[in-house]
Amino acid sequence: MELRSLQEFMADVLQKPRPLAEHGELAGATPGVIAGNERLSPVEQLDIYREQFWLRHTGALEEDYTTLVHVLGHEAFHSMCADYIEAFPPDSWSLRDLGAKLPEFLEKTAQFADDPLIIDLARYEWAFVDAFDAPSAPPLDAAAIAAASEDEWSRAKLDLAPSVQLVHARFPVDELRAEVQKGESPERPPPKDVHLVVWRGPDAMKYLDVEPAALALLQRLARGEPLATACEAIAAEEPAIEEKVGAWFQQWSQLGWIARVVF
Amino acid sequence: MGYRQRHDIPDLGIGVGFRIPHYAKILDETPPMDWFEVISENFMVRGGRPLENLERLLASYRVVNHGVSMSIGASTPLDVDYLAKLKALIAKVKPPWCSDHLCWGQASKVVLHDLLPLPQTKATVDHVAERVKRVQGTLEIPFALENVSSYLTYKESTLTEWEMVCEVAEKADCGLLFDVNNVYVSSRNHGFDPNLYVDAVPVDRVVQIHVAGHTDKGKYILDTHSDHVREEVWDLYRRAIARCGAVSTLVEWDDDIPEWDVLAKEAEMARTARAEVLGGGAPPETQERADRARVGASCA
Repeated sequence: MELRSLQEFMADVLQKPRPLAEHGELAGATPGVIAGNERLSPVEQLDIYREQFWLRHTGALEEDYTTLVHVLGHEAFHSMCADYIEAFPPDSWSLRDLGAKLPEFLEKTAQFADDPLIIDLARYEWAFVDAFDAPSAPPLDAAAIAAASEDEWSRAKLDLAPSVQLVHARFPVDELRAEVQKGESPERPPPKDVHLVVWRGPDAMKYLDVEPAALALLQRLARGEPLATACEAIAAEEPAIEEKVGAWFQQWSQLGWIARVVF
Repeated sequence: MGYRQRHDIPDLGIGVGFRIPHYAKILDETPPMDWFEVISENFMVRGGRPLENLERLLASYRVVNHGVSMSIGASTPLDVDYLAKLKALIAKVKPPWCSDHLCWGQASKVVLHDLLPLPQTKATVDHVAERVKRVQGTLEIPFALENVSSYLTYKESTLTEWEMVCEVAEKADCGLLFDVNNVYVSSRNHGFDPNLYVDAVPVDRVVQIHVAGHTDKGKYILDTHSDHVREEVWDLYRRAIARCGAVSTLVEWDDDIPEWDVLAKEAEMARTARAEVLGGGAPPETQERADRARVGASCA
């Protein structure tokens, strides 16, 4: 058998969530490839690797989505993992990327599409993964900011620090995650809009529930809109934007959310 | 001149893996340890906390990066993006060598994140050796392949595992990361004498040795790295050291990771075992030279 055919056959087997013996055609073909020994049949030998594939991948998803495991329960989470990996087989050399498409998968899956808690929680938990290994940003150039003219500010764009992740959730997923992290066993919470910023602080991962208009402004800045244009757009929903934006800028700078002001 | 001499491969002494439960202990207290091995892929990231931790580690210790995802034996093309990121990591770590596994882990576009064994055939030797040469050309530092544990045997295998390892190393002119626990695990799973394997390895190519714990699952042994090194594996380690001399040794413990002191004690056991064999510290090259003719024969 050609190496390519052999490896594709084994990859097919490994991606089956159920034991190889339950897949008649693949199990039937296995003795033609795998020798077995006096203790283990060819199917049993290959099944060791299939089992490890699922333990490894489900384990990686459990680590990244601990709160989702709590809300769904282990059995339902594992069943969801099987469906997810079938829909999005691992295609990155890094296990770190395995769960990247889980929020998208949940949005498109009938079982979860109407459950905003599950979808928003997945987006929120993945935000921590993205923030954790995002590049660091150099400190803001305070002198350049202080020296900027009003005209320059009118054209200014704000680059957010790469670790800053913005999440609007329809349930208090921040409180839910915090309780699970503390080892508690919270009930499914009632709906409540939260506007969350997740970022990597100097010593730990951080999150903060901000005003709706602040999150909307940050989202526009993240898309590359100039500060003035973004503020104008937000003014419709937050008339006091002009009074607030100065204080926000100061707070965001102190928290390290702003990497650079481009004049 | 042997591979280690040609590439001036140093003996780093006894090291352990750099694993999350020990980060605070290692980075804050810098306990005594000759060197650390890091999993390459964990630090081939855009930045952030992983690279901050790596920089702190590098400030205090010698570090070697060891990969798990190169998939050198896959039939899919070598991943040039992966190799570029690995090379960037190497530029940061500046290890005397780097390593990955003699295995495959990718088919079509699916990455299996496992160290799957290869059919032991001449065709595999040719395939892997050609890819190793390309990897070495890209990375521009000595590159070593690690023998893996295996739980299955292929019908089409015509070589013993050690014959394949030797032939790949010779044909690719690469180093070997010799994992004596993997030798033990595979010997139990496939019913061969592990001493034959140890005695066949080309000692001049062994740049590093791994020892680790494993788990007896009844019908087979699983390479779990979740326990103390078993006495049978220490015996193989002593046998390997007797042949290879003072080769950098790494104690792997990746699951059910114990307190730092337990791991440090395991590293001390490796140091003691090595010292028992090497006695007063005779130059490792002595045994290496004595063995070279015999190894050449076993790899022919």
